[in-house]
Amino acid sequence: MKKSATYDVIIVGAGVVGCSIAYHLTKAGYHVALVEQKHVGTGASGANFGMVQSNDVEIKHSIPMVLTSYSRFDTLEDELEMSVEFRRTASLRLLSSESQWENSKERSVILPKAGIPYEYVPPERIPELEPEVDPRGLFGATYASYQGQVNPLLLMWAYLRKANQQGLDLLTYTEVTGFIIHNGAIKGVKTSKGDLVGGMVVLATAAWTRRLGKLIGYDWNIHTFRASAMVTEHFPGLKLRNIVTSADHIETEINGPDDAELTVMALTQTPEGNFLIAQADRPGEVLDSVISHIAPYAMSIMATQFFPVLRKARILRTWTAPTTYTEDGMPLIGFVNDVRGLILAASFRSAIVNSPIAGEIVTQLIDQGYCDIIDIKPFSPQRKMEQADAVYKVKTSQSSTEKNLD
Amino acid sequence: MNTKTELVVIGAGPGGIQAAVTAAKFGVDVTLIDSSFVPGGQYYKQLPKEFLKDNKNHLHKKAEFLFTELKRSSVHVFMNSVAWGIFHNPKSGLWQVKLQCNNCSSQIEAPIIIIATGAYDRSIAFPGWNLPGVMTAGAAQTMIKNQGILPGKRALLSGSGPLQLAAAANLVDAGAEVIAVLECGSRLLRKGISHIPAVWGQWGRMHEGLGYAGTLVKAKVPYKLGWSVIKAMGNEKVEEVVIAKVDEIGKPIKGSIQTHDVDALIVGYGLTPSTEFFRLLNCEMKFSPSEGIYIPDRNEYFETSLPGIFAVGDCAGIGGAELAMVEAKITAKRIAWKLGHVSNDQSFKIESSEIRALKKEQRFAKMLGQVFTIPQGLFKLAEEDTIICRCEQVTLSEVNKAISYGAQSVTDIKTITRSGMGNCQGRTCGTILAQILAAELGKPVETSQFLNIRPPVHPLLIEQIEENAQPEVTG
Repeated sequence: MKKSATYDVIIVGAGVVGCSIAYHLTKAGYHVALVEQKHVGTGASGANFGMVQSNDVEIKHSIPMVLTSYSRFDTLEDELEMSVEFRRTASLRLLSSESQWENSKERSVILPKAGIPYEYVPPERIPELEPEVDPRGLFGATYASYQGQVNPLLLMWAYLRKANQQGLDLLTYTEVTGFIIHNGAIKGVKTSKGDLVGGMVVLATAAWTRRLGKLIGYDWNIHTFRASAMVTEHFPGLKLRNIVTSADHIETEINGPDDAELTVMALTQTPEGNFLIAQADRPGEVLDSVISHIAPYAMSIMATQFFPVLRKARILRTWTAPTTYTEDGMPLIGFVNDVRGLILAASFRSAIVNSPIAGEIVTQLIDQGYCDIIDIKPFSPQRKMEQADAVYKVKTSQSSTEKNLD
Repeated sequence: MNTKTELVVIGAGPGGIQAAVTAAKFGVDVTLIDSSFVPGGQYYKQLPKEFLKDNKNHLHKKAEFLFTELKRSSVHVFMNSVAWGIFHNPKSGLWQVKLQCNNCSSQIEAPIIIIATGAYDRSIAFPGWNLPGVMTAGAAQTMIKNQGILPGKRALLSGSGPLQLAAAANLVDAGAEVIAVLECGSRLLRKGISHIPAVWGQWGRMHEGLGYAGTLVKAKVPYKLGWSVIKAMGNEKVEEVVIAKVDEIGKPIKGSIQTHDVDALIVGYGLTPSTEFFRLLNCEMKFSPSEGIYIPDRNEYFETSLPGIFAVGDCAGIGGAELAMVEAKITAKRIAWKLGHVSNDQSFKIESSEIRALKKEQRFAKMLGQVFTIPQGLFKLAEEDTIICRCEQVTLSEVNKAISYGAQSVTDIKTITRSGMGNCQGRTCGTILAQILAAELGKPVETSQFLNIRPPVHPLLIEQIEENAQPEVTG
């Protein structure tokens, strides 16, 4: 890297959102650097199941964004000229009590009206949707028939491959250590490998956004938790048609009631026949990728509670990545007040499905100063957050935490 | 089973045993674990009785002494136990080692862990290197010594370093015909001469080496300097090998190519430290040019960047058994002091004799590292359809495709190709990928970085994870 290279735009963070922004901006002709502290997908994007999901959308303001972005997947592989293993799939969330269904009722009214199939199915119908599930003892399930899944690693590289062809400078193992600001306008970033000069800076930094903001006096309201998952070897003993999740969760203490693994069952099969098993979440503003001594156990007992046959599956790997939530369930996307040229694009509830539109929005903001694809005012980084979205509120006392991996 | 101890030592090779025995002498409660059935590690692989004719040599006298010390010590020994993860338990404040044994699952907690997991043979990727009948020198020795099986009747060895001589001598002793031993380092003698001071005082080792050399001379096995295998061929298994003289940068010289019929090809291009646990724990790593990989950064007492995690022996940089044992003694004493077993008036310090021993062994290790370097050209033998990652069956052309997408590190290649995602977590292909990438981008190999390791280090049944821990579950 030259001592102070000059770019039109510097994007920080090579997760799926940063990669998409890099693709869209280079396609529009900008001279762009994408800066990443480690390798591509160091954070949650590299630890992801690849669910292209619309059914867990925040229902007040986010539906147009998710619907528009989801439709992009119809043609995305053609556009990027590369397979990302996109396939349609359905999502089945097992309910063990009526109160769990109560929590999803509003969603089941709003989503189908918006064009996202989402319904309650009684226990007796579960076997026809998913023969491997034993419906005894279940209250029923929610079923979202029109969801999708990709290989999230290939999705990042499909964006990057094109972006590289379009002249991107990808700078991995380069950590951003500060911002260069003059007279209220961003002029570039300081990195572990020298300064980069750029007229615009985009933070697509998910769990690291808050830490970076603090360097320039902001305290953006993005919370982190560590999400864990694991993968089995190819296992022929079980065939699933759906992504199967549970509304039930368990809490397993790590160090007192304030530090616990909150684990739901989430199970999906890769095209090769491996099972991905999730998800143990450990609240706390910690940005490391070290898995707890509890998470592999907690995920194992949740998975085998529903699918005992998995006891004979061999675990290849477990992992953890810091991931984010906001209290109102909406991302922070838009210009930052008081620092001209600084844009946030962080904390998408589901980064995979929103990655195409995130790239389009940021490109519009840079091109014309506003976005007219969808209304992004509700996502303003400056907004006051009200806790509209109970499912992502993580409290520190036991039993009050509700998670939704719909 | 869930137990607590003061010190867990992972790996019962020379370094691990020495550390355990020394710490126990100071009164430390020690548990020593190893995945094999008998202690000794790769170096002190215990020979079956029928091979005991050479048990008078330097190596086995030392080993026997150490085994006797271990037997007489208070060390709790768990053999046939695989450590599949090291975790931190914030509640107890201790490190937690999770074990998988034949009929048991267990975890041991301790404030201090010594990692002494040694090293394994380094491979290079050439066409046919994944054929049955092609194996590492270490694997060949395991077959002969542990299983009493002859790897082949007509064998050729290719690689670098003194371990090849040992493997070749073992093969001759066991009744195989060894066609040749190829040493890829062509400047061996010239480089070696400047290191004579490092060899001074290494009489036991020279005796050991001469013993192997004697066996090979007697059997009239040619030792070819500056040669390497460049291709292996065969239908079901290796039947033919192509060898060539290589130039200083490791490029095969035209006109020197020969073909030989064999039924076994033994390769060993030096050793790669087993750094899995350091990467799993996110210890600070630094690049080591002599091994060409990242190794853990350690202080003068061989403690890593994580308090309580120590590393001794080859797993933290290739230095051989003697160096491992010197490191182990210093580490064990430090740990005994940390745990309060050495009283204040016996104030802890490293003895000058220990520093001298350390310096001597480090010199010897450095010499071996410099003499037996692998020329870069040997990393370019693979062809488009040569498998690079054997677990996931990834070819060179797929790796090159990933590089064309813009991959800048081995992890980038892994995420695109799945290379290194399989059972072995890139133990073999990790260093090969780093070399291919560096060569392709024209950058130093350290810019390729290293692959992450996540638990379990070895694949594990879900039911074994369930048995392993029974924490309190609420909710």
